[in-house]
Order: sequence, then C-alpha cells, then structure tokens
Amino acid sequence: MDTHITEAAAPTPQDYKSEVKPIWCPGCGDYSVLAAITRAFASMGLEKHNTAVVSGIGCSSRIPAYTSVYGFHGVHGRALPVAAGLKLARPELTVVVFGGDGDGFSIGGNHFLHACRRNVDLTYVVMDNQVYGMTKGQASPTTEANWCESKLTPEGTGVNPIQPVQLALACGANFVARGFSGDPNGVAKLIVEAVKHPGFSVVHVMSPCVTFRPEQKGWKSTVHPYGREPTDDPALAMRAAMEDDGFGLGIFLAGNRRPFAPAGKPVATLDQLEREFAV
Amino acid sequence: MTVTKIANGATSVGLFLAHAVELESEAAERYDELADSMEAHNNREVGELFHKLAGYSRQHRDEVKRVAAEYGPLPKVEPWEFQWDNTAESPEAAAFENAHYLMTAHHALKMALICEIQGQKYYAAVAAETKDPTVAKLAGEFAEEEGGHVELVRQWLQRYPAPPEGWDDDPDPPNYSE
Repeated sequence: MDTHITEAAAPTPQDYKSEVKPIWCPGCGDYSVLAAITRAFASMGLEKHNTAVVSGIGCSSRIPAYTSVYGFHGVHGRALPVAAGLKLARPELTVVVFGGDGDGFSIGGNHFLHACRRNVDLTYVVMDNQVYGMTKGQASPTTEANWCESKLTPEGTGVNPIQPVQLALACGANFVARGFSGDPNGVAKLIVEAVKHPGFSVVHVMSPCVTFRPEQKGWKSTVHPYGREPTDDPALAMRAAMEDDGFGLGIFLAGNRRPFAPAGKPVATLDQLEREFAV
Repeated sequence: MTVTKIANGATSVGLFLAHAVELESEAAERYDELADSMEAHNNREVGELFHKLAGYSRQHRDEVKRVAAEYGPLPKVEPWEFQWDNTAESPEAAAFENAHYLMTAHHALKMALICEIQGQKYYAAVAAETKDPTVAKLAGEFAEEEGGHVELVRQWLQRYPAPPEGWDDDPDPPNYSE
C-alpha cells in the first residue's frame, strides 16, 4: 500500500458540509455524491474562500446549499455558463459545477457542448439517474428508449438515450471519467483527479433514483472497473467508451488540450469594466 | 490461505488503526445521512434512532483514537486508499439503498445488525491474516468488541419485532407518476 506517513490534519470532510440538511429521498444516491465531494475537498485541503460550487435546477443541483464553500444555485441548465464566467473573472478560484442529467443534457445541453469545446478550467460533476425526479418521474435525455413508467411516455420515449461519456469526448472535454455513487470513495478520487487536471473535466456519476427508478438499486452489482489505463488520446478514449457497456467506472481521458484563456488583460476593477462598455 | 486485500491495507499498526478510525467515521456519517433523510420525511422515530447509532459510531471512533494515541500519529490515508476487501466503503457503512421513508425501528436495527456483523468479520479477518503481532492483538480485541455490539443490537431487535405486512403501504406515494 503506497501511503505517505504524515500527521493526520484538518480539514475534515465534515468541515465542507453546511448546516442545511438534505431533503433527498432516503436511499438517494446523491447523499453519497455529497459525501464524495466533501471527502475530495478535504483531501485537496481546498480553502473555502477560494472554492465555489455552481449548480442548475433539480434534485442534485441542491448541492450548493449542503456545502460550506461559496455556492450559486442558478437557473435551470445554465450552471455551466455561470461557472465559466466566474472562473474567467476569478481564475484563482476552484470552480466545481454540479447537476443532473436533465439539467445538463436537455435544458443545458447546448451549454454542455460548448463548455466541452471551450475547455475552461472547470470540473463538471453530473449526477445521472436517468429520470426527472424533482418533477415526479419523467423520462430524461439519458433514459432508456423503452422505459414506460411515466404517464408522459407510456410506451417509452422511443429514442436512444444520450451517452454522456461519448458526448463529452466528442465535444472536446479534456478529462472524462465515470463513477458510481455506491462507491463514494471512488467518486472522491475521480473528483480530485478532475479538479487537478487542467481544462474542462467531466465526471459522469451514476446516482440511482430509488423513488422513480427503484430498479437502479441493481447498479451496485452491474458496475465494474472500466479496466483500462487512462489515455490522453481522445480517439482511443472514444473507442474504449463505445466498446464499454455503459457501466464501466474509471478515467477514460486525461487529455492535454490547453485550457481556454481570454485574450487581453483580465478586467480587475469596476472602472475597467465600465470602460469596456463606454460608447 | 488466500490473503485478501484486508491484509494489504493494514500492514502496520498505524495503518490498521487508521482503517479502524475510518470504519467508524464512515459508519457515523452514513447513519447521520439516514437520520437526516428520515427526519426530512417526517419519520422522526427512526431518524432519532439513526442519530443515536451515529453517536455510538462516533463514540467508538473516539475510543479507537484514544488507543491509537498510544502508537503515535495516525498516517494520512486518502479515502480511496482504504482497503476493505470486497467492499468499496467501510464494512460498517449501512447499505443506503435499503432505506425506505416508511421504514420502522425494526428495519433500522436490522441494517445496523448487518453493519456490526460486517465490522466484526473485518476485524476477525485482519486478526487471522496479519503477520504483525500487535495488529493481531488489537484486531482480535476490536473483533471481540464488535461481537458485543452484535449481541446488543440483537437484544434491541427483540424489543422491536418485524412490523406486519403492508408497513410500506402509502395511499399517496411520492412516486405516483404525473
């Protein structure tokens, strides 16, 4: 076991939890993702005043309320542009974005494509339960074509679900990984790797909705290690992701694209900002 | 004898004690999460019970820390570096997916019983597999203590028998599709 012997020191994961208690359903995978986030932040020793979490709307987007770092609970599907703006204005901050499959791939789908393409130095953790849970169980962009449990789609959606890992790779994300909420320590590791990797990092976390998709409890025995070493070649990563059954866990791509940086000097004062808009 | 990952994770007294602290810390965190989710769904009795179980886990963690203080500072081990054989998390972390918003004290205690049995098995396995005599001694003591917890939870369970069938019936269930 490769372990460095040093004095165990603060901060602890508990330090990154707020006083607000989650209102997720008992058994929801998002609890474990929250545990993973706080463990990852503690592992990196992130300074609270230099860390921001940004989210959209949905069950998983409640994360900023449950953490003690700076947070912004934004508009549905718009977490990524908000986070990109924050990171570009304050590059010294660690900015991590949280949301679900509906927020990220439907309402915010267009923003996701361009966030991958633009490659701002952010980490995006998508908690995917393949359903709109907060609005009582409608099919989401990652729901299987033949899922018939919603009254809106009694015969299934009839369309193939989005594959988040492949989509992120195709659009140019610089780091792409998949985790499972049933392994919060494994997810914590992926988040640490994602935050440390330069550019736009996507961590796709399969997080069961035990209320509307109780069959997802079975994911615990379906997931498996992805089984390959991470590559820096998007083509190899894409091939591997397409050969995977959708339940492989690990890092698919740790690429070497240079993160986006705006041309010119950053605007640092209000005067400078006003001059930008002067006619 | 096949050596499992358990022995690989607890190769020294410090690493073993770090595992023991983590085992109880993760158990406490999970019980707290369960308690919070029960309270959010107005299942106050079970919420209180889970908070109580979390308190016991923290108490045990502090006891392990007191023992550990005799052996010097604990090594820093990242959450994903702990090795629990075939499980991804502490053997005493309750299986979250088995929670139900209408669950009773009986169900909560059954979850706790499984956790305590898994904890006992973990320590027994370390005691059996380690080549370090101090780790073997400590693991044996901890296994015995966990055995006491197993008995205690079994006694509690007698006070909270299984509820009649239909305990999870809800005329207005949250998963009613709209």
